[in-house]
Amino acid sequence: MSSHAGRSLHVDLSASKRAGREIQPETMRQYLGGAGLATRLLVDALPPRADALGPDNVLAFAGSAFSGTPVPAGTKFALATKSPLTGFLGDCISSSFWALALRTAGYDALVITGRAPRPTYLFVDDDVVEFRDASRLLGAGCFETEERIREELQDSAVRVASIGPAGEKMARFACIGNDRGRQLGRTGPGAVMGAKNLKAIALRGSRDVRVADLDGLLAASLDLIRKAQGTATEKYRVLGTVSNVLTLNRLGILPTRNFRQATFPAAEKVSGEYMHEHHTEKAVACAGCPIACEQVAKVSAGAHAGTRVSLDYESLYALGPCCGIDDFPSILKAAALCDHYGLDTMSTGVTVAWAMECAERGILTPAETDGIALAFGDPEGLLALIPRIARREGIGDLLAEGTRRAAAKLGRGSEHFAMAIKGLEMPGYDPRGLKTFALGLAVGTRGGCHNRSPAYEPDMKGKVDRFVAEPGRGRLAKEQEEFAAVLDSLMLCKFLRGCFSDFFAEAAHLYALATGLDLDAPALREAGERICNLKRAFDVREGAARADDTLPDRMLEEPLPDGVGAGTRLTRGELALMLDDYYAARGWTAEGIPTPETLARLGLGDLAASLEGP
Amino acid sequence: MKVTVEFFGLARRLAGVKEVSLETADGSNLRDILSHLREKFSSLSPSVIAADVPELVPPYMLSIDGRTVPQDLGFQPREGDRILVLSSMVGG
Repeated sequence: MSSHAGRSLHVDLSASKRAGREIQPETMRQYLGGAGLATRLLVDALPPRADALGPDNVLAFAGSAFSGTPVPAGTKFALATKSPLTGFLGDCISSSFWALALRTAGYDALVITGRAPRPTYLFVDDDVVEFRDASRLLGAGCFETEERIREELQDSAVRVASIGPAGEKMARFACIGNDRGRQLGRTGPGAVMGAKNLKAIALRGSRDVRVADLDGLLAASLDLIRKAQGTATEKYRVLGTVSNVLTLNRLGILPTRNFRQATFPAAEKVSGEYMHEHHTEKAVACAGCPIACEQVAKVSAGAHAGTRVSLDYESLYALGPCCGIDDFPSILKAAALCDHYGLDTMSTGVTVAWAMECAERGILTPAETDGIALAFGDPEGLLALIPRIARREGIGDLLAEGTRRAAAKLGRGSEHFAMAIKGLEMPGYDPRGLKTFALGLAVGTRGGCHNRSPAYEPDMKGKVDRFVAEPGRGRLAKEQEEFAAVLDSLMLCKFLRGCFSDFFAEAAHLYALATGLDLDAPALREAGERICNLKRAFDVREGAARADDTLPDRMLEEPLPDGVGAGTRLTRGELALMLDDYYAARGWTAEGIPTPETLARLGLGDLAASLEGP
Repeated sequence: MKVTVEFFGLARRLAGVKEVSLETADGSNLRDILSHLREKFSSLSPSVIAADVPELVPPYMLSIDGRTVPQDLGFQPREGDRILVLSSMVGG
């Protein structure tokens, strides 16, 4: 017996057809599930260089070996698609009951291709798949869509992943929302669903989940649960990630005003501590999670009274300090609007910050911004732009393209401060003060991402000098990427990582207890390397090259302006040195292409031909 | 020797203050400073400083003025140093 279902569901929207396929145990051994499996399914199903907003693009969802088992913080699912924002891998992870429903419906994965002839939502009810009319749902926000689908299906237990107006309008950083407040947030998967005329995916499952060794898994899970409720995760539970603001500000790496500063004078007013004192209502957990990191905040008075939203650090940074905004109720309102419309909060904030800087420099005039006054620190401009971006109205149509495309269209020197990596807007850490992380951001397969590259760890923990670029950082970045890839494919929450003494050994043991697959720590490490190379191979196939492994001009041409590291530069020469070091550590060419030998060693030899140049 | 200790995140919440000045013997190291903190702020144990020994509980660490993170608690700060009690947290 195995916690894996051993099945994937394939849905062709164009033909309104469905088919079940078997997933071999060996495939799971190689790719584990989650991000690894989803990426492999994408690579196999997507024609090279397909239009991300065309019918050939693929939405490959894959779940967790641990959904429906006693393993804590493992009820998650991944999505792999071609991103309309970056043109490269769009891989996302979300959590909670939709993941569980996918598994109890009997599937490890759901692969969607084609384009529905009319607005549609899928209802997967174990083996039954219905293509239901979604025309009456058009224009509804994500939360409203979930509620109305449950009402229509007359079952409050149905789990829904949906897009809001932003996805319908194919805003390039539209997200997919699920379980009222979770998101497949980054790289624009909502736009892919919108392009497919797919408003939502509703799931209901009735199947049991069986595991290979229930007694063993229960014992191991109880031990992990105890640790997950202890000191290793206490900071998430009590304060949440919003408490990053003051720490990063003190370390001089809090991106402020579109990365023009690295400290925010009003940091106390937008801190996690402030939020707890004035706005936090409760901490909430995902399904099957004992950590409860999600901090729900509300606004009780003032213009935004009644706003209630869960807020994490990245949303707070992007909608707050990155836009120079220090009004917490406005930040909460902005986050709530993004959740409603189905927009990535990070890309929204960073793109608006870019627009604010354009306005400040006179590059965008009031006539071009629909009369909306845009200025750093003014929340009204941010709040006015969010619906416009979602609906692609006026200036919103330009901004909905994302920072890189918007800057390319506008020109006028705005490209210099478009803060995106491979087209994905940057996370909330100034890489000039975290140089190993700078490398991790530059080489990230989905663009600049702290989640796929925890290369900040050696920097922040003082294992290396964070202000120095030197040989050896390539190996560190590689190791951190592979660690993240394994977590994302086993689908264990990253906040659980402090609960393991020997992560690879213990995680392999958990996986074996659940699935019956006899993976050991070295095999698990190799799976991480395999998955990272798979992701890179996908990007290269879609046109990625060394030139894409870079950082925005501002990061490479301007020194850190303030804070502890004031004056520190991250030069193109330093980045080049670290890139060479990373490619060598990876067994890639000097141009960042996985070699046939490396691919063959990892069982990816079938991809070598697709990476050969013209 | 006088140093200032700054608290961040959960450590700040538990200590109840943003920072504190400590007067320690010349030649004190970080372990000595943790002893002082444990004595002054019993609330920091067991979440930040171990209850029985002057050691930090993972994931907490000490940073010297936000620039360096000594890997050995035998490190001796200098007069006037600002010592940050924080954890490496990123995301979400």
